[in-house]
Amino acid sequence: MSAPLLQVEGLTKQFHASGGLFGRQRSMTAVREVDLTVGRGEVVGVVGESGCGKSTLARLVLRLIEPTAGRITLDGTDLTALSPAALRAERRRMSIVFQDPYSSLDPRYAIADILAEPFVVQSRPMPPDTVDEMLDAVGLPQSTAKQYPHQLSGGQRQRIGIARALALRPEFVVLDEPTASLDVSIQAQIIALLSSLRDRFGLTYLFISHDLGLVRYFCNRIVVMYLGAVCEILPNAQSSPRHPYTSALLASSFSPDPSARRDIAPLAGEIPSPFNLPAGCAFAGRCPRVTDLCRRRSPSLVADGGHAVACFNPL
Amino acid sequence: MRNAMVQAPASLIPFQFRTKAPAPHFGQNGQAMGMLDMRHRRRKAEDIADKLPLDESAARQTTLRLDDHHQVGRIRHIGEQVDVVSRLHLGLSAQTARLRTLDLLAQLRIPEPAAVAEAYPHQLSGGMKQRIVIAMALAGEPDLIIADEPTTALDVTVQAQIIQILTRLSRDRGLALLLITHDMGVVAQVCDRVAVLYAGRIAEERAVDPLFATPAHPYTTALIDCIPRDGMTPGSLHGIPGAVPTSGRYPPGCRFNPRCASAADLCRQERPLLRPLHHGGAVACHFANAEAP
Ligand SMILES: Nc1ncnc2c1ncn2[C@@H]1O[C@H](COP(=O)(O)OP(=O)(O)O)[C@@H](O)[C@H]1O
Ligand code: SF4
Ligand SMILES: [Mg+2]
Repeated sequence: MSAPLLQVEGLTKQFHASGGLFGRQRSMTAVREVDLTVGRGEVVGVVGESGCGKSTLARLVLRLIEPTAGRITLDGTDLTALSPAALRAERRRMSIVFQDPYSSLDPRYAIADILAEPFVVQSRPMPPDTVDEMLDAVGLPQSTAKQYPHQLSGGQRQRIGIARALALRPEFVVLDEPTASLDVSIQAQIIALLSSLRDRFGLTYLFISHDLGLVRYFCNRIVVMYLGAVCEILPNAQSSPRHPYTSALLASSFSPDPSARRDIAPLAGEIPSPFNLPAGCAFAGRCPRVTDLCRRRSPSLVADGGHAVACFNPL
Repeated sequence: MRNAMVQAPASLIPFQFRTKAPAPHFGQNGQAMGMLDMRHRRRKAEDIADKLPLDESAARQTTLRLDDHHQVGRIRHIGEQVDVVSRLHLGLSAQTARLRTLDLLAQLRIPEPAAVAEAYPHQLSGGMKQRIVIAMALAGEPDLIIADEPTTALDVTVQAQIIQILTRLSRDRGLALLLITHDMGVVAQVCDRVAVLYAGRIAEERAVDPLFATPAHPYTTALIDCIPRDGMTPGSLHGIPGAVPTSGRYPPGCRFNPRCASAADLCRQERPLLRPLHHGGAVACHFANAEAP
């Protein structure tokens, strides 16, 4: 791994929900003591099922929301210790592309205004030709500048979302399921675009997805999350899983190849409620390798070389 | 917009047809037909059911959907919602219907069927709701089930559970299954035959093995190349240029022509008809190696 650009230590986020009988406050830990390092130029994937805390992690890393605990360091600067003004300056160096290109673009603004917005937020003058250059970088014609979001297709809108994220020439970009609402023929276009932009602008990506196949194609290293915590870090896309959950995820994704058809042995049950999690390993209730120890104690993430796994009985 | 489906966890819309024989287009009993459609259109299953050649008693066909918000009066619990199907279609008494319901829930490996039957839909997880809708579909003893994006709103590990159930149903009970999905992996895993739709028309219709091994339509070929697979070299995923046309704005000729690498003048002028292929199946492309019309 190259020199770390982003370092995350013990990152934790609790949410409080009033609910239940008599409006009692309940708290849940959406992200639990996450440690993560992203080297400059790397594409690190974060994979897991819905609700496992991927988007919360994304927003924490960019400090769009406040962590309950933990530290985030960007290129040696501790983001958690910065004053608001200093944080705003650092924010220029990082940005995010959201999942839904429909709700993330304000329908009242023309594309040119949407692309100028990051400069307005930062109170910085926008260099001339910026809009044209950005449109060109994401493969859209200059005439797009005068259009409105509703006139564009889903794929074109996501290109605008990407152009906006790159407007201030960041070094680090979080991609939060950027293709999840697009059809596969457009998904592949967007992945190809992200890949060429990375080469061209020397970007570092944190790529979030629920699609293990896509993550294995696009990413150098893969972080697997279950119920808010990292359960495994695969050192490369080819490495075979050691955590029973990662292994189940892999076995649950069907390849587009009828000759690879197999008997499905699905994981039993569903993801438990994040409120009132029992003690021990969060996966214990569904795990085929569970032992008594797993129900009593929570396994911590242990690294062996670049491969880290949080399991008492790894494969 | 695929996102809209998250609001409808019970997106399996089964139909039941009291047909003498399933419509020939869907093959024999026990066969699973896939309809691969990248664009999600609501009520697709209803449209298809309208067009199916069904016998007299098909007048009794029902669209089944788990009712989260019963319009009149109270919300009905799970048991009642399943019971009503077999009471209506098989004329069972309330008691017999409930016994059947509990039996079906057990067959679908729903833990504690009796307790679940007394629960209300909002108390169940997405995967559990989907099983209940399948139970409702089975309650009327249909010959054919149309499942419209049955796993799209579910997580992959739960999707695998539902796919396993659907596969077993078609294999073990001799049910014909029409699975409408945008997921190529699911089609490859479940279906015997596949119709590939593009912009509302069938581009290609084949048995599943030759479809993936030697796709005949340029759209099918391009689509297969859009899915990341193990061992693929980085940078080999390109996608299909352009975007799917919205209905009402279809180009003349072949609807795929603006995105097709092999398009010629003929493709921009004339609509290619669905022609049989030498080794079975059919394709709608001027340049595919099909038999003359
Ligand atoms: N603002 C919030 N308030 C309360 N709970 C939240 C909030 N944001 C997310 N959560 C909860 O945190 C968990 C993780 O959510 P999220 O990070 O969006 O997951 P993912 O992106 O992996 O689907 C979920 O259980 C979600 O309901
Ligand atoms: S620690 Fe135990 S329960 Fe958790 S994943 Fe490993 S074997 Fe399964
Ligand atoms: Mg998310």
